[in-house]
Amino acid sequence: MLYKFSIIPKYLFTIFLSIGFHQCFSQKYDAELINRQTIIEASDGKLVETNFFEIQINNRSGDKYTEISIPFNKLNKVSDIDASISDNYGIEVKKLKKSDIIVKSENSAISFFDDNYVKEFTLRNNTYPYTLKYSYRVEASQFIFIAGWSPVIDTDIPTRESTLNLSVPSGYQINYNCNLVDQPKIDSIPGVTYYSWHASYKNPLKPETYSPALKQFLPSVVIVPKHFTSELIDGSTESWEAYGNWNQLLMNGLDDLPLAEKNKIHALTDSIKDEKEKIRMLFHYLQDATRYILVSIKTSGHKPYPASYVAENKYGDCKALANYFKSCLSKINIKAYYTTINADDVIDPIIKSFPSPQFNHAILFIPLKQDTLWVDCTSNLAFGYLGTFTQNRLALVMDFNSSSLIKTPALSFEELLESRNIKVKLNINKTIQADFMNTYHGDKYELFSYVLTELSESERAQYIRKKIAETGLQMDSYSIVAPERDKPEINLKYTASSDQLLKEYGDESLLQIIPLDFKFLEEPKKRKLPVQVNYPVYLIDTIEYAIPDYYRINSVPKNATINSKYGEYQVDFMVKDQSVSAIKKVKINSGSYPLVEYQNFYNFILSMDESENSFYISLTNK
Amino acid sequence: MKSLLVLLILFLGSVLQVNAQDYFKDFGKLSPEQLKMTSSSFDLTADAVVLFDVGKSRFVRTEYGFDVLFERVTGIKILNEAGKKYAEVSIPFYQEGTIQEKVEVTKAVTYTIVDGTLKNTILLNPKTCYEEKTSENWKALKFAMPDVQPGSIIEYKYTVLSQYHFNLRDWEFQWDIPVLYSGYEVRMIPFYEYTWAVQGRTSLDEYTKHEDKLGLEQEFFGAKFNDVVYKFGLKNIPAFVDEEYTPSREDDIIKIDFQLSAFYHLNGAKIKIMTTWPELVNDYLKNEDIGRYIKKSKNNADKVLDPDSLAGRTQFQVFNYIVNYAKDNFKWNHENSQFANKSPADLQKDKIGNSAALNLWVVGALQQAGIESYPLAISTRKHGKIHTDYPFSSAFNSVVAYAVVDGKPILVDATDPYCPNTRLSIQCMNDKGLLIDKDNMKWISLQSPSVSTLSTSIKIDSIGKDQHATVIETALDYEALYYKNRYANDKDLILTDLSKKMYQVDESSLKFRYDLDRSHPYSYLYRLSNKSEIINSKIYVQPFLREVFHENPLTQKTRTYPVDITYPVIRTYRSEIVIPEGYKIEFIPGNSSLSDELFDLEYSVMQNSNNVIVSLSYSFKKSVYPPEEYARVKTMFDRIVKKGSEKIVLVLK
Repeated sequence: MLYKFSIIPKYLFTIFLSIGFHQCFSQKYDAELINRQTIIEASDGKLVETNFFEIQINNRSGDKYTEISIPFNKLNKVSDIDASISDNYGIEVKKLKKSDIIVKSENSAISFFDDNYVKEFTLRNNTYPYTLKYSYRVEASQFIFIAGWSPVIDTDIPTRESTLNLSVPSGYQINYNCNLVDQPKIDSIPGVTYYSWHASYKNPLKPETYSPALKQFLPSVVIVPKHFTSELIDGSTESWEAYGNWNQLLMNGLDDLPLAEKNKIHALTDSIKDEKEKIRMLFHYLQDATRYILVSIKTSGHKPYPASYVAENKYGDCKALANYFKSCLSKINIKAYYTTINADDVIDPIIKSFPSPQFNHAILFIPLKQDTLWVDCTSNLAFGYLGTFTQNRLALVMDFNSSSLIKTPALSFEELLESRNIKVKLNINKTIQADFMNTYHGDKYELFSYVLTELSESERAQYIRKKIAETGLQMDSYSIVAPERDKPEINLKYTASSDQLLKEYGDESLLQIIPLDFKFLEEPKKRKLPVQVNYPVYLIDTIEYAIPDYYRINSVPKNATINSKYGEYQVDFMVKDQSVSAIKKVKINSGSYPLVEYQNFYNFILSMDESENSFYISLTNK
Repeated sequence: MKSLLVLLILFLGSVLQVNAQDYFKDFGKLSPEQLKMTSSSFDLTADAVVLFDVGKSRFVRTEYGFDVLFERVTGIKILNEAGKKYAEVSIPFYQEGTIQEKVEVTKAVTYTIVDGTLKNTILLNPKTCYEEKTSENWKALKFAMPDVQPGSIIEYKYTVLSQYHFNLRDWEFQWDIPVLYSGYEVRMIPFYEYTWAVQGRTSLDEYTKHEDKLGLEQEFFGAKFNDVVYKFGLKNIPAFVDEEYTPSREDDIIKIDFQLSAFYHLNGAKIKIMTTWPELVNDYLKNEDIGRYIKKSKNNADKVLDPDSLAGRTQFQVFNYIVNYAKDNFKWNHENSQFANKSPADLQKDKIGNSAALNLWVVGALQQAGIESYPLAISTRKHGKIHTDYPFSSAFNSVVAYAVVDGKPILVDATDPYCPNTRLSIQCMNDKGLLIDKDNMKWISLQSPSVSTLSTSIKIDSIGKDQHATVIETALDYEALYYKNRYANDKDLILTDLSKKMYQVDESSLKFRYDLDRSHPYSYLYRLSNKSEIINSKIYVQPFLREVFHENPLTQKTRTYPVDITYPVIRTYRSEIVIPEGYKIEFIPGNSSLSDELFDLEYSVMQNSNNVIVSLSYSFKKSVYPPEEYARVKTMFDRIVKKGSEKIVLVLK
C-alpha cells in the first residue's frame, strides 16, 4: 500500500487553494504572419512567382511554423530559396545555408505514387519573439492557374498584412474571383497591366460541427488566364463550354480499348436488351475487375490515363476509370458524359460565374430515355448510388460546345435511414444483454461497405468495437451481413452487454433506455460559423425490454415530441405485461442556416440529447 | 517477453530439415494446391497468403572489394478484395555517400486464376515502376501488380546491390498475412564474421550450414576460398496482428537480425567489431560523436554557463541550472540517436539537435560543473527492448544523461522541455539502459521510480433543478507532464475539453496553476453547472460527475501482447455533496475495496448530517502487464467504471 488513499484528495484540495491560482489570460497567438508578399509576372507560356514571408514566432509552441515545406514538381520549378531569422531587436542571427535544404517526395495519403516533391528547411532561435523571413521563386511554363492565393498560411494563426501583385502584358486577359478580398487596384503603363490585392486574416477560425467548408470564410484570390495552353492544347476559361472543350480535347484518343477488351464488352452485353441493364452489367464488370490506384506523374492533373492503361493494369484513378468506363459504353453505343465534381462530405458550392477547375473528382453522367444515371467508377457500392460525397451539388458535365453545370440528386430521408431493432434482456446479476439488428443506408452504408471489403478481420474488429458500441455497452460479438449487390443497404448484427444501464438503489432499480448519441456541438456563445447540414439524418430505434417476473414495473418515461424547423423527434413508450417497448424517431433536415439561428439549432439538438439521457424505467423487487 | 534465439556463426548447429525447393528457379511453376487455394489452412480470416518468401544474400566481387547482393522472390495468393493491397510493393533502398544501393525488379507476374485454373499470365510493365524519395537518404521502388483479382497469384523477384556490409539485410519471416514458407540464405565469405539473432521463436524449422564446394572456388588477393552457406527457414507462420496499447512492433515480429561482429585482414588479423558490452563502452567513449563530443561540450559549457549560477550553489541547484539551460535553449529535432548530429558549437548556434546532441551536452556540462555524469545508452519505446545477450550498438537508438547528485543517481532527458529535470521523458521509459562508464559499466532500470498521481476534488454544493459544483484537478509527475504538454496555458483548449464532457463551465471561474518550474504539479479549478437528474421527484447525484472512465478502454476479449500503461499511477477522486434543504438521503452505495499485487481500489462513502463524502482511489502498480494478466486488468477497469458511476439518491423529507 503506497498511500492511505482517502487522505490525499483533501490534502491537495487545501494546499492548492491556499497557494492560489492564477487567473487565466487569453493567450496570444503562438505565431503571426506579419507580412506576405506575392509578386507574379504572367504571360503566354511563362509564369514567374516570387513569394516573401515574414513570420513572427512568439513562443516555443510557435516554433513549428518555422518548419517550411515548399512544394514543387516537374511543371513548377522552385529556386532562389532564401531565409534568415532575426531576434526581437531586428538583428539577423542566422541565415539559411544551401545544405540545410532537404528535398524529398511529398507525402500523400491518397496516392500510391506521386511525382510531387518538397524542399524543406527549418531555422530557429531560442529567445522569443523572433522573426523568420523567407522567400523563393517558382517558375512554370504550363499553367491553368495564375494564382490560388490566400493570406492564410495556417488557419490557427493570424495574418497582419498581405499583398498580391500581378503584372501581365497589356491585352493579356485574366479572370479572377475574390473571396472576402476587395477588388484589385488596376494600373497600367504602356505594354504592362498591374493588379494589386490586399488582404489580412485577423481572427483565426476553426472548423465547427455542421459548418460549411472553412474555405468559404477565408480570404482568397483565384486567378486564371482567359486563354492558356496546357498539355499542348489551347484552352479558355471564358465560359464553362470553353473550359469543357479544352478538357474534351485532352481526352481525344484516350478511348483506345484493346480488341480483346472490346470483345469482352460485347460478349457481356450483346444478349441484354435494356440499356440500363447493359450498363449495370458493365458496371459490375468494372467493379469486379479494377481497383483504385492513383499514380500521378508529369501532368497537370487533368488528363486521364488512356483506356488501354486500365484495360492492361486493371487499375486507375477516378479519371482513368471514368474515361475507361465511358470508352466501354461508347463501344455499345451508349453515350456517357465525363463529369468533374467536388467530392467531399461537406458541400462546397461551385462559383458559377468563374469557369475554372474547381473540382477534385471525376464521375460519369449517363442520361437514358427513362432514367438519368450518375456513376462513380471508383465505387464499390450499389449501381447508380452516388453517395454522401457527391450528392446534391453542381457538377461539370462535359460535351463539345455544350458543357454545363448540372446538379446531382440529393439523398432523401429514406436513403439515409439508420434503423436499429434492439432486444434487451435483464440478467439476475444486474447486467443487461442487448441484441442489435441495425440496418444502415447512406453514410453508414458507405462506411460499413468499406469496412467490410477493405479492412482485414482484425482491423475490422478493432474498428467496430471502438466506433459502434453505445454509451455504457460493451460489444461481445458482431457480424456484418454482406449487402445484396446493388442494394444500398447493409446490416450489422451484434450483441452487447452492460453493467451500467441497470442500477440498483435499495429496493428500487433504474433501467436506462439505451440513448441515441448526437454529434458534439459548440456552445452558442463560442460558435463562429453558420450551420450547414449537408444531408438529412433519419434514425429509427425500436427497443424491446423483457422485464423478468421478479420485478414490478413502477413507472416508464413519458412520451416525448419535439418539432422544429430543423427536424423532428418523437419517442413513444408502451407497456404490455412484463415488456416495455420504446420507439424513437429522429429527423434532422438538411439545410443552411445563418449564424444568428445557431442558438435555435443548438437548442433543438440539445433538447433531444437531454431527453435521450432522461429516460429510465423504474422497477421494484416483487 | 518474447524468446530470443542467438546463434553464433562459429557454432555448428545440428542440421535441421532442408527445404530443397529452389524458388528462384521454380518461378512461375504453380502447384495445384496454389491454384485451388481459397483460404489459409491455419487462418480462415486471411485476406491473402504468402506462398513463399525467399531471400539470399551473398558477396560479389567488385574492383575494390565486395558488394552485397540481395535477391528475393515472393509469391502471394490474393484471396479477396481486401487482399488486393498486398499486390502493391514498395522496396526501400539507401543512397548516401559511398553507399549507393541499386534495386532491380527482375521479373514480376500476375497469374489470373478462375475456379482453380490458370486463365492468364500478365507481366508487370517496367514503365509502371516508380522511384520515390522518401527521405533525405532513403528511396523506395514502388510498383502495383496489374490485373489483380481474388484468386490471383502474384510473383515477383528483385535484387538489391549494396556496398553496406555492417548489417546484412535483416529478414522478417512474419507478415501481416499468414506465410506458408519463409527462408533466408546467406553465403558467407571468410573476410566477414556475423552474429545473428532470431526474435519471436526459440527454434527454426530449417537451419543448415555447408561449405559450397560445388560452387566456383574464389580468389581475393591470393586468398582462395569457398562460400559458406547458411539457410534459415520457417513454415506456416501466423499473421502479425497489431493490438491496442502495444509499444513496439519491433519487439514482437518474428525476424532474424545480422550484425557484423568481425572482419579479417588478408594477413589473417581479425578486427573485432563487437564482442562484449565493455568493449562497446570503450568504443563509445572514443567515438567522435559520443565521448569526444562530451569533451567538447565541457569546453562549450564553460563558455556559455553563467559562473554566478554555479558558484556557491548546492549540487542540486547547479544540476537544475544546467538541465534548465539545455531545455530552455535547445530544441529537439524529433530524431533519436546515440550519436550527436552536430558539434556542441553548432548546437549552440542552431539551437536544435538530436537526442544525443542535447543529452551528451548535458553530460559534458554537468561534468564541467563538477557533477559526476555519464551517458546512458537506451532503446526508446518504439525501438523495442534491448537483448542483453546480444551485444551490438544497434540495440540502442538513443542516449540520455546519468548524473549523481548529492550521492543519488538521477536520469535526465533534455528532449521534453516540460519534463521534470529528475525524470526521463515517456519515450525513454523502456526496460533498461547501459551506463557508459569505463570503470563501472552496468545496466540501469529506466522504469519510472515513482508513482504518478492524478487527483480530482469535487464539491457539489448546490442541488436544485440544476446542480453546481467546483472541481479541482491536480496532476503530479508524469500526469503533470501530460497536462503541460497538452494544455500549457491554453485556456481555450481546457474549456473545449470540458465542454466535451457536456459540462456548462463558468469560464471566468477557470483558474490554473502552472508555471515553468518543471517539478511543479499542474492543476486547475473551475465551476460548472449541470441539469440535475430527477426521476419521479427523486434526485440522483453522480458524485464524480463525468470524471471517472465511463467506458472500459480495453475492448479486446483476449490478448497476445502485454498491456503497457507506461508508468504506475494512482488516481484519486473525492467528492463532497451538500444535501439540499428539505431533502434526505434515500440511498448511498456501499463501500468496496480491493488490494493485491497488481492493483488497489478503495471506494468509501461517509455520511454526515448535511453532507456526504465519497472517495474513490485506484492504482495500477505495474507499468507493463503481461498477456496472462490481461483479463484481470480488464476486470479492474470494469470495476473502476462501475464504482465511478455509482449514484446517491436524495428524496424529499
